Amino acid sequence: MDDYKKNIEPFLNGELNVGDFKPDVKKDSDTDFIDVYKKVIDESKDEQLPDFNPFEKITSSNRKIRLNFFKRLLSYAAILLLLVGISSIFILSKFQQKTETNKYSEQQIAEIRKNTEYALLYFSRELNSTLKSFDITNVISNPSNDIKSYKIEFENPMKNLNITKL
Amino acid sequence: MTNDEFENLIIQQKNRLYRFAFSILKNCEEAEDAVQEIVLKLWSKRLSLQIDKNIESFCMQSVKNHCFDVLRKRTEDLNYKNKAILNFAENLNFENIDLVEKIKIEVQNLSTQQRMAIELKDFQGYDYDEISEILEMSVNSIRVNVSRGRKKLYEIFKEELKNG
Repeated sequence: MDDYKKNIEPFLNGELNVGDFKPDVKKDSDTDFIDVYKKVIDESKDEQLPDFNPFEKITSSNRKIRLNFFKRLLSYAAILLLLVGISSIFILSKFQQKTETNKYSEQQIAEIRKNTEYALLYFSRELNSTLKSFDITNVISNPSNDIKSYKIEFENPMKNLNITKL
Repeated sequence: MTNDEFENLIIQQKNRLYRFAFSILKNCEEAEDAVQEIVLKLWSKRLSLQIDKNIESFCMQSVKNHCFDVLRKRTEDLNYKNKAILNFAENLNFENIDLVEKIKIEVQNLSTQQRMAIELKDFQGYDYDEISEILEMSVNSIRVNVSRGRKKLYEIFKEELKNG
């Protein structure tokens, strides 16, 4: 008991620990206080603590990071897809425009064919008549320069045909 | 620090961290939340953590800082909870509970500084130097807080004995 009396003051002043007191059989208020205080400490040590998962927030944070990563990946893919789509539409439209400019319509082709046929027909007719007039006037023995005076004069239907405009 | 080392450290320290957080916050859910929050913060820094340094004190210090932040952020809410705890303590029929329970309740009613010092010194068995590192206070201030807390409990105990 003397030990308790002697040590209670330093204990209360924070100089000693509960563990520095040895169990005493003689009891008074000081002894009781140390015993009760020891019991409080022991009981709190034995107290069942909640069984919680300390890593719960790490798991949820990792899940969030993964989800955000996939979201970002998905948005990048969507943007990429959109860009590819837009550019392919643009290229396709340009290509179509180009092929349309180079392509003649059926009507234009028919017209060209008809004009060519007429031109050839007219040319052959004129050629025939010229050759015939050569025979008649017997100019075969004349100098070749004279042949120029027999140049074919007719209205060529192909003359004013602007092919580039077609 | 590797992932395994980190996991082992947290599993070892989990209860200590929880007790300390609870001694400050006086709320189970908030204490659990505080521990999980600290574990998350430490996880992001785990590669720079070194085992040879006093990692235990660092963890406790982080818990203390986080709990103080929580206290600051939830002052009104906490006041309400403190009142609720005090009301609960006042409403308890002291005659029907033993001295051990009374002292337990009175420990919870100590001021935060005294409660933290008592919790670390008497309940968790840290020495003054370690507590000084955790609480970022001088050894003398901690000794004063421990002394005041113990004296308060002793006075209450004596009064109870007189009344009893």
